Amino acid sequence: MFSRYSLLPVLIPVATLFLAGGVAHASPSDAQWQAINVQLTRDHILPRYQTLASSSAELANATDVLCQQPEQLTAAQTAFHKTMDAWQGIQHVQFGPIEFLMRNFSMQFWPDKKNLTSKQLNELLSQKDTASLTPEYFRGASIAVKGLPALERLLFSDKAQTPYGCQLTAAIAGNVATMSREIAQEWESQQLPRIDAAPGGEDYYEDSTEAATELMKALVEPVEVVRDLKLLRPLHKGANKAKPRRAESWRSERSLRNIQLNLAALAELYRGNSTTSVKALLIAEGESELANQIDTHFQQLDRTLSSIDKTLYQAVKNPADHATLKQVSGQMKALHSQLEEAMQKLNIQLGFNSRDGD
Amino acid sequence: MLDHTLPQRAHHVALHPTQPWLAAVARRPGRFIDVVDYNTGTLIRQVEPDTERHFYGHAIFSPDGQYLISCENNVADGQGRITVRDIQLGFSKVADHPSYGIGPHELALMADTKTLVVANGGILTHPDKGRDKLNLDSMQPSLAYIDLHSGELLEQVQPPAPLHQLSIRHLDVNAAGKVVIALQYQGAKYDDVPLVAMHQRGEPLQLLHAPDHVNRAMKQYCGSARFDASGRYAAISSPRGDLVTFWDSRDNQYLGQCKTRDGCGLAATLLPGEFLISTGSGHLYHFDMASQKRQRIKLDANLSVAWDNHMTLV
Repeated sequence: MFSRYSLLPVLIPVATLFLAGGVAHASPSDAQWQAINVQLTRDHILPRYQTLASSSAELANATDVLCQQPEQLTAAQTAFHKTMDAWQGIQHVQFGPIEFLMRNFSMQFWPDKKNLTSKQLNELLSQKDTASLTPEYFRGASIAVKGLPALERLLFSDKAQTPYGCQLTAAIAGNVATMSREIAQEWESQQLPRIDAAPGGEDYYEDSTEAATELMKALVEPVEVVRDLKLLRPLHKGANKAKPRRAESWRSERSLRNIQLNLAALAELYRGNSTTSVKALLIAEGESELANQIDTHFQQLDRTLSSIDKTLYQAVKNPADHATLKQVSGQMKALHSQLEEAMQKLNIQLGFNSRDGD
Repeated sequence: MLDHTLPQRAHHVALHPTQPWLAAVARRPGRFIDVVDYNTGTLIRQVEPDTERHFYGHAIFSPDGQYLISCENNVADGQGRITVRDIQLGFSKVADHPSYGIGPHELALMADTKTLVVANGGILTHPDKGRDKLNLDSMQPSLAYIDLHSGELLEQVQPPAPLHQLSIRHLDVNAAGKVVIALQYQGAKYDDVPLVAMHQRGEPLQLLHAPDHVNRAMKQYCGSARFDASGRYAAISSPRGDLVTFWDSRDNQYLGQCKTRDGCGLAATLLPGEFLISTGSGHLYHFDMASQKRQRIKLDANLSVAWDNHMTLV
């Protein structure tokens, strides 16, 4: 219909042409991407959201128990750790139901540069308003007080919990459990059908490559985000200038564990299963060396992080550990640029304009 | 399709009003504007800034075709400059005005053909530091109206102080003098701020907020702003949110949205209410506001291409 205006011959956007160099390999087909999308959704994303839903339901129970039996604090803390483990294992997925209703920020408002979580929690604790304990309140509450960092503060405080403080803890845990349950359900009922329907191109995704691009963003971008926020910010300019309180989850002393879980999740996303994986696709494209280098980075990073025998809070202030962590950061940078290179080889555009910054 | 290899990645293409020429402007902090004949593919001129200057990505031709007008950074003091080059004088510089801000990005000429409107993004960068942003805590974006010939500042508006991190980057202007602006927020990622603005000279800056879920989906980042053929409707692309929003410039109302993965480049067609949208994955779409229909325009399958930020209808 618009061809009568003969737009095409005269339409000149700024374009960047990609010229193939060296041995020509065909890009992965839409069918190959579809196999990866389905495998990763069913074997990686759905089980991880289900683990988050079940562990946060247990945490909600544990905090209910805590309000009756204050000596059960350790059990509640253990339940928090399991929930945080689950969250760190799926934090890299930033598309789909996690994006609705600001759930990504509601689950974890962090980094909290203005210390809003403390300020707003203290306000709630001093007001002692029972109306602030209901699910209705939490639906509209500030993102700073409705997720995991608020729970961490309440469960890992030096001060003993007040009865109201415990009720608030239980209410927040209930909110986290509700969000987690809804996200798991919506992945199953909404996002999975969209990914299954991608080859038709009629629904949410135009083709399987478009759906794969979202999954590949979840593989590549977190490497840079984790490095910047979780490592470089607390490392700052040297061991004597380190900022340990910038570490994620420093109160519950699990900052390094978070990073390890993040990287383990990305490694699983990369390695897929024995027949279907991004790694196998790279090898099929004639990029075995790159494929193996990426894999080796994941292994070495895990080993180096495991070798640190302190919390991140302590390690950033120790010159030897600070140096080790700087190496980790350098290796993550190398991993990130290799993953970006891999995406080019696989002809995946992670966001030519969206990451342009102009 | 014209295939002219540029020295580096470009950002925007400007069309000459009478000659079959395009000017491809280097992406920040690049140092070339390639003026190319789109019929023959020959390079008419590679315009370079003075040493200690670089381009910001946008330039325009004056409607009479006499001048090439570009935004530049004066690296020594980081102040924005607007330079005017006379094409008949071999693209030599005939005027060099302040932009009255840091980081002038997109510019346009008002219907009077003598008033420039310039988006001073406010973000200080230095070529030695690549694309690092050096002044996010103190940035002061502005919209400046500047006399093309004298360089005099005629009017300047800014976002209110609490929103000083709303970078004014991209704009378009219609025949009635209304300016539509695509904003990029540099503050905390959970802040929910207006991402579109309209301005009419003599009035305050109108910051516009899409409905909550749409505004959130725009991810604090808009990439292009364009009026349609009628000059009443404006499209704003949000490549990070994979959508384009549409606005009525008469009453500043939000009208609707269209999902487009990594869609950034916008161009009006010759018909009111119609836009073309280009994407980073190399797709091109036609969108009709009346029918709300988006149609993919098939391109040559052998063409492996990614559309950059901006698009111009020739």
